[in-house]
Amino acid sequence: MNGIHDVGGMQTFGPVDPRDDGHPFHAGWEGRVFALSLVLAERGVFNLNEFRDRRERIPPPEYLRKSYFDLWLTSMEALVVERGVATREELEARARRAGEPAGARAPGGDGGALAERMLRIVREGVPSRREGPAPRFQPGDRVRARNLHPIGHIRMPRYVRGKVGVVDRYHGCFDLPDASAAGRDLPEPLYTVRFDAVELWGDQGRAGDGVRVDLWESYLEPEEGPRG
Amino acid sequence: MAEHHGHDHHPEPPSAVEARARALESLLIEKNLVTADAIDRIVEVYESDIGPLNGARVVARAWVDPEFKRRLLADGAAAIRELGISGLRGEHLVVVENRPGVHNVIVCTLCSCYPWAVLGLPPTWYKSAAYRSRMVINPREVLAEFGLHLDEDTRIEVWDSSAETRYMVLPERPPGTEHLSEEELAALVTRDAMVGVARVEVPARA
Repeated sequence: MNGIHDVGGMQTFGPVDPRDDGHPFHAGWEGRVFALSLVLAERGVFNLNEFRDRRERIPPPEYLRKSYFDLWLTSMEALVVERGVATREELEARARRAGEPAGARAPGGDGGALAERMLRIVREGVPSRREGPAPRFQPGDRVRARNLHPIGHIRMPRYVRGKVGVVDRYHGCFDLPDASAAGRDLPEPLYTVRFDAVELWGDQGRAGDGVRVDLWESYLEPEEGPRG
Repeated sequence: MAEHHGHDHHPEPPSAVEARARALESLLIEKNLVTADAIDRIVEVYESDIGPLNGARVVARAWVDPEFKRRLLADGAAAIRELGISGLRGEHLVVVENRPGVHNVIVCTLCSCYPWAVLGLPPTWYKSAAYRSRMVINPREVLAEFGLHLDEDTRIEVWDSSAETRYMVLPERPPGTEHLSEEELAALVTRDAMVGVARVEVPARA
């Protein structure tokens, strides 16, 4: 879906404010929302691409108004409702009572097992490279990013669609996000493709500068011409 | 352990978003999908443990050990494991090297992909629409907003992290640091340099 998340190349967001205090969270709830998303992914309530897809379908006015972690929260609320884990009414009723003392919370009760499992995941990671088909392209091949606008998730930024680049490296096969967001596993070769800045941005680009983007094989088609 | 929350003893009523966050967490705890303990531990580890000190160790090792650097650039994820570093969003790490005439910088235009295992969670500016939108089309101007002014003839390579690969910049080792130990070098390396929005600077009397 062509959503407001896909901002690459927009010029109207103003200067970057580079100030930072080194803290990842700026309110207690932000860290808890972040951690909840990792646990729900591990629990199989949603996968990473379903989570991204849900965020990307938030209407632009709401998306731009909400803070970063509020977008995460909004997406998780929608997903737990869509997956039947909780109802909208339960969430709203509970939120109205959130100022009350927290005595009614159920204890963890699992002897720390989930915490241990999550820490192992956080510290060791979860590789996502898969077995899959042999790559069609090799480093140096010229490719054109296809002009795709699916009604669904895609991890190809709009600013490269229709543009010609050169395959920079091959990473092996990874689940195609478009399929993954729809609950299907479809491993596909993944490449880094380099686009010249002038190809992308015309006279706003500087000759010699480049932008590299990771693109799945079905996002690409061969482009005739000399190898890069 | 369920009592230990940064917000439970808040004297003021919670904000609307905080109330929603608490509601979601407490419902998921009741439904046995989540434990407060697991949430506490994850928050704690990203607040106090997994951060850019990991990446700085990697950079310093690459500066003093050419063979390690070669392995790091060939397979970042495997090389950081040699230093005992691994983790979520570092499983497919790619390290890209700055050198005279070529400057690399990392962005995620679609969301906020960032190499957590080596740099921790991203700063607010990395997640901002201004950074995400403009770094790909106008990198010189954005880098100048960080105070980084590149030579006219330096090429900029922007890496837009759109998959489960994650990128980190290996900054140039500053001149005049030949006498420093690996540990002293690591202390010079900043998060911003490993994203590519700064150079590694030597303090005046290093």
